[in-house]
Amino acid sequence: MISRPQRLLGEALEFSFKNHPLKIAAIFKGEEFTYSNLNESAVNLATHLINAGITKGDRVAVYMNNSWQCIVAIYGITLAGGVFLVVNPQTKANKLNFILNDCGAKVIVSESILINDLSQALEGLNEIIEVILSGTKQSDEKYLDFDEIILNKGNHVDLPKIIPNDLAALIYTSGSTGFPKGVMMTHQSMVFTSWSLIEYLRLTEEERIMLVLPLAFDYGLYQLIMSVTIGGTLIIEHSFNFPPTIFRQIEQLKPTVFPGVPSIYALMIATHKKTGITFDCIQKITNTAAALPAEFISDLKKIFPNALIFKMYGLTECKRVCYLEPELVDLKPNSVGKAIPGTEVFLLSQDGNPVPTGESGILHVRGPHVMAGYWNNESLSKEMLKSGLIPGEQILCAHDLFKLDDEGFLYFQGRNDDIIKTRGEKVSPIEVENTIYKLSGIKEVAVIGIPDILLGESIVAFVTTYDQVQISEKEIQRQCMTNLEPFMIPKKIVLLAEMPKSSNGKIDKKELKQLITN
Amino acid sequence: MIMEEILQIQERVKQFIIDTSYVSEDQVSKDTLIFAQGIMDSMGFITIIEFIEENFSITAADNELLESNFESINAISNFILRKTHLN
Repeated sequence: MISRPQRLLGEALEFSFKNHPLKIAAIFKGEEFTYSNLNESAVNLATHLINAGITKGDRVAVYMNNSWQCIVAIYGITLAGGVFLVVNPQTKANKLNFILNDCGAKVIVSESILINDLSQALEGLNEIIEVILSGTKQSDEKYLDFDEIILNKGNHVDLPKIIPNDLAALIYTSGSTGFPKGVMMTHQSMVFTSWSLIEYLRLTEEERIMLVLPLAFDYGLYQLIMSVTIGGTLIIEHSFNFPPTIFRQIEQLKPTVFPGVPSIYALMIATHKKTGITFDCIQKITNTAAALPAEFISDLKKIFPNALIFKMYGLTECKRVCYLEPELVDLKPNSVGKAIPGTEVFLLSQDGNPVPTGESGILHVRGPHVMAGYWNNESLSKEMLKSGLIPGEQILCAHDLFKLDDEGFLYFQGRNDDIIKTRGEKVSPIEVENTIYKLSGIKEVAVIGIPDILLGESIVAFVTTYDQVQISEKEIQRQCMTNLEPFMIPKKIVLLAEMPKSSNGKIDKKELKQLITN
Repeated sequence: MIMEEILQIQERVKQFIIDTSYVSEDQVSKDTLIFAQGIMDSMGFITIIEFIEENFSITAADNELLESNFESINAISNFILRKTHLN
């Protein structure tokens, strides 16, 4: 008998539930949830959303911390035919308002701990039909109770017919204009990508994946999608902010896969050197966001003596570009490998010609994982998506510079635009600059990224002030903390008497870069 | 006496949190969950441990590295007080 192939994101849950309803799908705060629990809760939420008026293609925002509730929300929305967008819970009111307005979200699923920013963000939004909150029961009747909704079957409805070309998710990422933009991903592309990742990571249904990365970050989101697709177990942690909790959870719950980023691994290495801590249960560790420094490898092998180490590289617009086979980690210490299964990459010069081996070129990506474009933003979509080899096909121009060696392995060289990439998140310098300009007394601001071994790039802000104005570095960082997500706060503020300018009067960021790196 | 001591410890811990994070005085209270709310991250955790070691001569044992001991200014201060009175 030929089994039905998976075409839609939600079908992964359906299949895993049918195959092993009583298997543990998720562990959160010591509580275990089976695939049956996840399916029932997600169907209950989907039923509620459909009864509330959500139809195929409507956007539903999830503004939550990592939790059981958050994963129920994601699958509930997708089963209802909605397009989910997971917004980082550290997003402040102004930006949240922009995102909700930009995508025309109809329903928001959030939690009571985030009510301050959420209620401010809701001002002036008229398209929202419901706000559903998890957590302590709200006395305010304008919010619905998430925890009650997912327990209730509600009036039976037929789930909508979705096809693979329908949109599944919007993933917001920083844009060069200073405003975030929503990367459109179809069911087809997300299902394809999840299977490509599962294939090269050699995942099986025995895996227990530990999630410490935010679900709003595509690297975190795909841990959930992969885990549900293989019928594995996802161990959901709030964050890596309090490392001893994570170390204890690893010892108790024995995950087999640990996805991390360099700053997490650096802290683990420091702890290992102090206490000798090791995690024998982990069989695979993965790294993306910033290049894993080659000198980390020997320490990581001591901490994870039984683990394969996967070095990877990607960008939100296609999720993942390439990975290095773990067996080559010592042979190709500076490479991020080759294109993920079912895709291809090539390097082109500025004028669109192929570059010879060993020379730097702009990365282009071809495959079903490439985004459908940016939501509501055709001009920016055109900057990233170019005509492909086949008429009508779109390929992704990544604006990242790479080199290929004679065996076809990729080496990251730098970025081709102003966007800063720090902790795997894109940061628009304009967004940070505009925030600093709001402080009184600021004359000029220039924000740049400089290479950082742990973060990929570290954000530096150069500031000049009007005469007599005294402003401290801390004040500027606090202004950023109040208005931006923590990863966008400049690590360093440099107060200058005069801003260097190019001949046409523009701030000379190249000179600033030289100034700071010297 | 103890009350006075705890207030002093709380003040020093609060000042440390303000100095090492990006929050201003009015954004953090004694009960604010500093890790859950992202005011301190994993690097912040390391600096807190160093801060209490250097300033209060306290070493936290492995089984004391619980979030409940470090989740807020209040929790950290109580932990310091408990440990200094044990010594």
